[in-house]
Amino acid sequence: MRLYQNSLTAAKERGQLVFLEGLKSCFDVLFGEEQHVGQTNPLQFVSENGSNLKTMYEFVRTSLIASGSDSWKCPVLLVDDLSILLSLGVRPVDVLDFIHYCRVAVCSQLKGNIVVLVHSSDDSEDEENELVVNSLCHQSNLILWAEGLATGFCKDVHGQLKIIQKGSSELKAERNLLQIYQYKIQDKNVTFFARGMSAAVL
Amino acid sequence: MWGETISISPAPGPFPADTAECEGRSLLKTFVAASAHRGESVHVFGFEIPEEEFRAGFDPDVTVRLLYQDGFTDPLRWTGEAGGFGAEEFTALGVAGRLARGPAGPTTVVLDSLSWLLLRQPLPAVCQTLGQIPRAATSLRVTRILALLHEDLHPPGLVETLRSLARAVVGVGPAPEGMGSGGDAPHLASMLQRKGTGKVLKKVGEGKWRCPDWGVDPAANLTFNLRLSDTERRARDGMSLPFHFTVSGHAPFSQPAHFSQATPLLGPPAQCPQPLPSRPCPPFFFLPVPTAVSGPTPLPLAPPTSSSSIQSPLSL
Repeated sequence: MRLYQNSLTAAKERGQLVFLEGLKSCFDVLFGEEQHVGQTNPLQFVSENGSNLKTMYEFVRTSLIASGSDSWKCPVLLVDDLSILLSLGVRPVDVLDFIHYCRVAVCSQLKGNIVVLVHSSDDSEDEENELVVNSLCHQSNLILWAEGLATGFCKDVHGQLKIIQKGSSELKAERNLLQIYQYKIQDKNVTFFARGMSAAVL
Repeated sequence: MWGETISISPAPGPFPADTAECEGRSLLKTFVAASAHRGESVHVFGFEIPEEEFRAGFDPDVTVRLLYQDGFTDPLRWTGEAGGFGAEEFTALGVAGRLARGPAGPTTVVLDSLSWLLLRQPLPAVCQTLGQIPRAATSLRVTRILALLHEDLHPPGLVETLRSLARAVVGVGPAPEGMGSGGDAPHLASMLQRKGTGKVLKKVGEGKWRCPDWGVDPAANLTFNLRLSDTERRARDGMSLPFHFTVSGHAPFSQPAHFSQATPLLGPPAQCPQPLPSRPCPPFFFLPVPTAVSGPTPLPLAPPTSSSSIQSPLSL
């Protein structure tokens, strides 16, 4: 939010952006005042020691329906990030149920897109996190896999991005399309280039 | 990495299972198309993708036989959508009730996917349901149950349990780089099938599946012959190798009547402790290495001894 503060603040003011601050909502659930009748905090499950994300889904759905009356194009749901929900005690299957219903509402009914951030690594021993990651890989049409360079830190190349585009699952089996780029994060911009083609070495 | 498909029910039928690296739904859909072309009704219980996405790519004569049970829109009854198939309905009676809405006759049941159900219901309950479906559906005949399984979502023990219960298991994986051309790249599939007689068949093949058949024949449409005819195979099987041991116990050399410059010169073995296996192999020429050449005249080749029973390959 800080990186693109001006543009996102303007979007929020004109109703184009609905922003749920998870950290603030958690604080309100645990230490805030009594909720008014009819108002349900999307993160209510934190205080109930539960794992059902149905209230969070209903918040998403309500926000999309409210903005759908305006002249905006296809909605986009950004989730940053799902791994934190696992850390809050949500079971992996409940996280997958939440994403499932978001796909129904956003992708299938409103013809929008969902972008989800998760953390993973090749040698991860967190089975619950890997279950969520693998399940999302099965459901996704496009996977952006950002990782550091295998050779270590570099001042001019901050990381590598693998773009995996899934083939269609119609009758003809197609191989996934793989593209690899390297990138450098700047102040308000990110520069992508082919591997070994950083401006510093050209 | 291989994914594995598992058939759970007593009804036969290969089922695709996959991983995130290589999807198996396209193979599942080829089996669906094959069932429809055989004149069977196909009941699809879909939980992972919407109905229009599953129907995409099918011919009209296939879609007319497809009855889709919508387990995608509201499987957990969060929104109260009517008409869908809920996760709690996945019992033998619940499934049989849905099957009864379709036409009578041979029926294929498709689960897309079994992984979705196994993540939300215990394995014994799911396996019991699958085993009871054919008996519960009294108004029609369930010929096979196809189920898609994502192997990388389950522990290895669960996958092995399903393997042991299934009549046929088909695993799909990405083909190595360089195999295939363009976007129509093949996948690799392995199939393990248990027949009713107890015989177990295992097959690994390269496939570009657009139909239920087992993909492209790599030996087709070549400018050279990779296979032997029956006559050629019999001739090869009947040929004696030059290093077959004789009654005397020595390994005589073969005496070629002619050799070309391209024939490699190999040194004779000092001793062969064991006779060569009698499996057929292409004939080769075996010549002694000349230790010195004193003139332009090449060294004569030593003729085989009279006790030799080895025939020259050229005598055939």
